[in-house]
Amino acid sequence: MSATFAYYPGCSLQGTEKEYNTSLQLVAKALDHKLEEIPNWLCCGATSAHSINHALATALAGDTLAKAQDAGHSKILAPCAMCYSRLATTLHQIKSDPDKAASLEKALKREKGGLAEMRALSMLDWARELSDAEIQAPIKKKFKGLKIACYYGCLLVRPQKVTGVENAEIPQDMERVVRLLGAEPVSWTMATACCGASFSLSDKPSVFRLGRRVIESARKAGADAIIVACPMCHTNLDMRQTEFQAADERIPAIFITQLMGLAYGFSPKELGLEGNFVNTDAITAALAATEEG
Amino acid sequence: MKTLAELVKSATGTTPLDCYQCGRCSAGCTQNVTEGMDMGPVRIMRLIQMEEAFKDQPETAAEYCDRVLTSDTIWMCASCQTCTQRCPQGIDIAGTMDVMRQTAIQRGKAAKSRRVYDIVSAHKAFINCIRRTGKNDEVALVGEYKMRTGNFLSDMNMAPQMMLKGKMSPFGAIGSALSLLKSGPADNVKHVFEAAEALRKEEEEQ
Amino acid sequence: MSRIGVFICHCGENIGKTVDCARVAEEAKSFPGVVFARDNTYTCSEPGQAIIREAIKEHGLTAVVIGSCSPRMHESTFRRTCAQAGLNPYMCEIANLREQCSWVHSNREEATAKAIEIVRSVVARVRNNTPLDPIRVPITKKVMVVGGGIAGIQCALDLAEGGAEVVLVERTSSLGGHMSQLSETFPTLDCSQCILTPRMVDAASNPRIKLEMYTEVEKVDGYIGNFQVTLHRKARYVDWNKCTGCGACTQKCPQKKIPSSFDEGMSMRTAISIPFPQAVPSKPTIDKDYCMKLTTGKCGVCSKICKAGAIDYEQKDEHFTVDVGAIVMATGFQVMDTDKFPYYAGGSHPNLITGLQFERIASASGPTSGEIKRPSDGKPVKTIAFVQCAGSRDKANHVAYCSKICCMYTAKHATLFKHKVHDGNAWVMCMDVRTPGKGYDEFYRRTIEHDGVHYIRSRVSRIIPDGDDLILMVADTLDGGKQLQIKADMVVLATAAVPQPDVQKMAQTMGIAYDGDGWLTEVHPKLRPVETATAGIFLAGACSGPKDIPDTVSQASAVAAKVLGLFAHPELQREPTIARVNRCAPPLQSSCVGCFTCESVCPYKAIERETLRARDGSTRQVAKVNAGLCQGCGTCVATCPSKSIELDGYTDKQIFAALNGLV
Repeated sequence: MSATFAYYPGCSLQGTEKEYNTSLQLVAKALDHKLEEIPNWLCCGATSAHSINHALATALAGDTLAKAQDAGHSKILAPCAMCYSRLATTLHQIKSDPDKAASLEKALKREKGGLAEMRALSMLDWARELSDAEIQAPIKKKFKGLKIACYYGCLLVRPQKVTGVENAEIPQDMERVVRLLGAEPVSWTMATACCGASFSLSDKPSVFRLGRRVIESARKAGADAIIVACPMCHTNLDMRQTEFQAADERIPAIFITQLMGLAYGFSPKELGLEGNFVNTDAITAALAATEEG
Repeated sequence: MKTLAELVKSATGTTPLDCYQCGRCSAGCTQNVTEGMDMGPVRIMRLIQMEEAFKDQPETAAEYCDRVLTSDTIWMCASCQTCTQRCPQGIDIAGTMDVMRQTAIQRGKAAKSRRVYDIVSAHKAFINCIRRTGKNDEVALVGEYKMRTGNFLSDMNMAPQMMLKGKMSPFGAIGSALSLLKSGPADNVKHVFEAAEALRKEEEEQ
Repeated sequence: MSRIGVFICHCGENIGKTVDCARVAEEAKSFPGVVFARDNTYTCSEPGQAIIREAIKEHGLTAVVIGSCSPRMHESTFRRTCAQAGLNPYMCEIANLREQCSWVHSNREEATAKAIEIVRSVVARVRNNTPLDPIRVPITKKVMVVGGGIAGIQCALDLAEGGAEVVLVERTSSLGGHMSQLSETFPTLDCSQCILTPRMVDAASNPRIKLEMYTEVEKVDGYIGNFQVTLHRKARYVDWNKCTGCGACTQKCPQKKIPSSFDEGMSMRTAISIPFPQAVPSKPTIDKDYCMKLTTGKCGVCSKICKAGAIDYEQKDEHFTVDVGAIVMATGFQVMDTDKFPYYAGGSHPNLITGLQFERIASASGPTSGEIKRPSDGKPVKTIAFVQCAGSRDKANHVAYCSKICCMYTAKHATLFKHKVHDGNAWVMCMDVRTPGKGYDEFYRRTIEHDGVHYIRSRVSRIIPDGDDLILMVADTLDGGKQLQIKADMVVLATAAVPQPDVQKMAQTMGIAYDGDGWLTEVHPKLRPVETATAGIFLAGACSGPKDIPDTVSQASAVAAKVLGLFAHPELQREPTIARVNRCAPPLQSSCVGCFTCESVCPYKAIERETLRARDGSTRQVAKVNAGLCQGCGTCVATCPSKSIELDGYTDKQIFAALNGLV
């Protein structure tokens, strides 16, 4: 079913994690989804803004909501978990407290109101709105024998009152997609553990310890690859993995949209798989095995 | 001056005064004591309660308040939201840590350890980045962070590989470096900083 | 013409200090209808009451007003006094000069003026009173006890002992309830079955107790003294009259892989089974969902093997009604399943069990014959961890209340474990250990001081499976929140006690209340703890909230005393202050238009429908109040759009007169 979203790519998808954007654009096209980029969007402020400047964090999220609203949208797709979380948290605050909504609109000098009526969609929300048949329709080749650890991390699921996921402890949205693509999700213990992304720059010991914990858990569960739906998680579990994990103990981490894209018949090059630091041949090989789909 | 509990209440709508010290936040904490926190989040909640309890004895209250604001714990929090998710009393503990960090900066109380200094520097560099361009330019961010902290060598080993993987372009890097010379908010982001200032003032007046 | 007497009480100094009682009495003499008035220091005392009795006789009083304390205090006293002097008790009214006047004012002049107005108002009201007679209702001296656990058994035994006929309804095929599943009981560690099974046998053999097993309550009609309860007896497919209880059928049944609910899913039973060896009655039932004969038509092994010819695959469910005068709810509780806790090993791991499951493992009659072996691989457990408050006191994720029994049963579990596994290690993760009970705290301290169990003050955030083992994420809150990881062979969750899932539906059909958590509610938590708001329906045991065995048994006996007290009367006398739909001469017959708004608002289901027949043979339906059910709350009176309902003793005429007396 065709659908249109206000698209909020966020900074990472234009920078170091641009293959997330590329692959999402391809997959969206295959699903007949229109992604209309929010004009002149700004950074969400990420962890830094909500950590040391709460008002700025709120104002930045408000600005994005306002620009999407002005462009005639009510649903914003935010593929970055951080961007999504900032929008969803702000929406949760202004939805549950009309005074906060009024203050935000006043601060942004907006007359028309209705910011609280907007909706932010994470990649999980986006996947949940797709039926099994819709996800399967564009499939050209299915995976066979590929074991996937679906990694959710923090902000796609927590806190539950903000994300509205049904089960924040054992989410199953990505597992469903993985199954529909013919791959096999593994049951593992670190699916919603933190990878330490907020310390990517500033505290390497935390990043290495937490990242390693995730990779080791996925390996122990027998996964061939990890899929993610967050650019920071990807940086940590792919690029940083080469720093904390011995060469023969690594497993590739790719975006859920890259996994879908492969099944939908796009080439690894189109999907930006060569941008990965950890070799992804195990994933593409599992696809080649069933050429007839 | 507002108590820490009052600040948390107005920012998150929940209150640390509801905490009954069960410790589940600390039990499930991504970081915690062994990883650079000087006390578990459960103790932060208790100190906030005690500051409130001694509100009418300003010296004692200030002691409690300082113990919170100067702690490493509030900076080592990874904002992973596990504590908020599982808190049996429904307290927004991760949100509480946000309020503590912001207050520590505002009151000049942030811990002086090297580890905290690096973390605070990264946050400040990030916000400056937004101020200059409205976006997070990763190269400019890393550049400012290095200038603030003197960690010139960290991550330099990744740069050639990142360029090779198409994650960073040499020309872009030069442009980003030049952006560091700019000062004051860029035109596209001015209104947001103004809005933030208005929100901050309103909150203060309440 | 009214002849009203007014008596103003000083209540010692309570009224007299602030109100000039003599002047109030003097003023009252001038009110219309008043023929006698005086004040008195203590009107409720015997001499004070004598003055009232004499005045009634001497002055031929037709109504009395007492200016005194609240009617809640002494209305019944003074009405009895009037009745002794031959006056209808409902011709006596109280003017509240204490709670509503002297206690809340300090200015004597103003208080006296207000007291005069209050008395004037009540005098005006009493002039419009009419004599009322108490409603008499016959009592069926038989009681139904719903639930065959320790609460129901104890209550039934006490009732039978007191001479009442008892119908004991139990939905499973055996008496015993949760108590029969327990290994030992705290704080004395006596064997649960040893103290329970004799009572089960007593209940089954008592000639005054009729067991209705494998039976559920379907519907309740009627009112105190006169309930009609419809029961649903599920088909057992075994004629219990013929069955000798030899158990041969349960040996030979080929369907052997059904999780036993008595063993909390930790052992297997057959499709025809007796729930446990000590079951009372010791008769099997066939589970129609699993029996091959009943599901596929092929098998019939039990029928062939039964020498008594008791197997009856054609048996049908039965529905029948029983008349009783009182109902006792003793429906008990359940515990939350582990699957409610996704953060604890995904909510499902063979070695993650509930406290009730641990009871079965620790029980000599359980699946491991009392040896502490873990379910996954049968390995003897060396390190065990107990997690308290799993679901309880967790208002954000589960329930807000304390389940009350877990602290003590966890201490008991840890003690039992240490008694059985001397070189084992037991951890308890707790928040506050609550031990208010006789010998309870001593027991808990012994768990630590004598048996060496380690208590850590922490709620567990997460339990991570590590193969067959489990790792608990803990923080020692007594050590600044220091994070600890504890690896255990088996983990026992003290999951919250929760109401029976279907009890609310039953409560709705009976018209009794339950709270937000689903526990049945008592009329008053302190002073009327075993009565419901519906007269004649009582609560015993954990159906009104988590309770340990001593509390449950005490309540059960308390209910028996209440019911026997009710049955001690030849008939029920009820307050006549109930609602009445008016009736008048034909052709109108009643101003009720039959909208039945009253029916929809009545909280006591007291509105019935009556058909009126006019002379021309046409009929119409009007409302009628069931005097047995009406509690006199007046909701119908307030809602009736055609003003066709009045509350006796509180008629519009009386209320308006009282108001006019004030203005």
